[in-house]
Amino acid sequence: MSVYQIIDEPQPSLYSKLVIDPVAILFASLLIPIFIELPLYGRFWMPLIWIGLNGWLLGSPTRKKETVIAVAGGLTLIILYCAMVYLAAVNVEMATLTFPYYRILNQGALFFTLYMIVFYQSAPYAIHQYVKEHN
Amino acid sequence: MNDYKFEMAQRHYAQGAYEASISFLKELLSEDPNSPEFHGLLALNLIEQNRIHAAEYELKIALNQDPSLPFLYTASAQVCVLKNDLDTALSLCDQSLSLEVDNTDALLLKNTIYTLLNQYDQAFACLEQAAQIEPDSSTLKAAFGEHYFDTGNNSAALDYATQALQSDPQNIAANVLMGNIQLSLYNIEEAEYHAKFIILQNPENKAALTLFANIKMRQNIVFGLWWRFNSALANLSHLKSAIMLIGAYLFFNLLSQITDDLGYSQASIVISYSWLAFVVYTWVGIPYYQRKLAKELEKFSFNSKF
Repeated sequence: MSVYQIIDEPQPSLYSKLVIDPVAILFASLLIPIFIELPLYGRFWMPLIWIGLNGWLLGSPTRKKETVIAVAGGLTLIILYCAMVYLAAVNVEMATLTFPYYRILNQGALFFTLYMIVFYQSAPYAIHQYVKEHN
Repeated sequence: MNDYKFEMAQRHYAQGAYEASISFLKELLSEDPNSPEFHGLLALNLIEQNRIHAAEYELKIALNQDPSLPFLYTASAQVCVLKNDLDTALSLCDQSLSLEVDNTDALLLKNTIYTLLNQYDQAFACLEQAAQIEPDSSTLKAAFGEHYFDTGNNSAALDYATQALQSDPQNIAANVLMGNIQLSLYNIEEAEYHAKFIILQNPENKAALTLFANIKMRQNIVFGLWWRFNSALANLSHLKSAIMLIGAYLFFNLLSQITDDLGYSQASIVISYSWLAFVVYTWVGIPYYQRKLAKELEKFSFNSKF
């Protein structure tokens, strides 16, 4: 007889061993770029893919919502990048002046997306850990 | 067998052992997924664990199975209170009362909602109505005490809290109230005793944790501030929490950049270090908070008065 599953409990996945604490992904995305230059602007898209995948491996009940947030965050970063490229093409001086602000805004958009997903994933991750410890 | 398990689930719920209650209910629902009582009690447990999404889902199933159970409407009202939808919560309480006039749970919840809306007269009317049904209830006495405490009548609040604890020393609401009253009277040890008494029974009790944080704020600013910060975030929605954190990030970084651009590089460095200190504080805060809490709870021993 199968055990009744509450809707917010993570569904067991074959790859659940690969699941890690979403907060660790957030910290990694903050710290790793300080020491290593990731290829193809990886500091922006790699954390989004990693945390999105983490939700699916975890069997998070909100994984679709998390994926939508990750995609929206990725699109925002692309739009910001295009805006900067456009500004550089139109007015190089202005682009140089505003570049530090653009960088802050870019990081803000990335962290906002990551924070949102971390908030959604934290509760299922806690339940996942609890179930793991009690089995 | 099922009756025994359900009784155990109810007993664990009443004692605040929500995880134990949930495991009994999961077993029961595996055998009989069509029981609205099982789904309803599961929802009540989930509400206590702040798992609103799951509680809502369970209540939906239960109400589809039997829409005539009053406690399901009261539980739904509790979910609405947690979602800050107070108008819907009030109408759900009324629905519950229309099915069961003597429903003190619904009346107490209405009192809470009116208090949240700062409508103290209507809140008091609900309490009086409940008192006619259950005049000796310790929970009700604690609710009267809370009302007086909220409206600034500390002596009446203390009187009701004492009465409630005399009739039921383990009553959570009465202990929280007594802790808050003692704290307002600067009796820190007494206040701490009541907070820890509840935390030992139910480590997730929000009111007790808030009381404990208030006490610690007076003794250890770093510890207390971290607790406050975390509680404030926990009470916000995901979106609002993320906006708050990113707001802090943008504020510090933009301010640092602007001051640098204006030629105040020293000020810019100070702002950057302030931001770094805040980040380190939020990282160090978690293990620091956990160690402190563990130490505090290790020190705790039962008072002979209880």
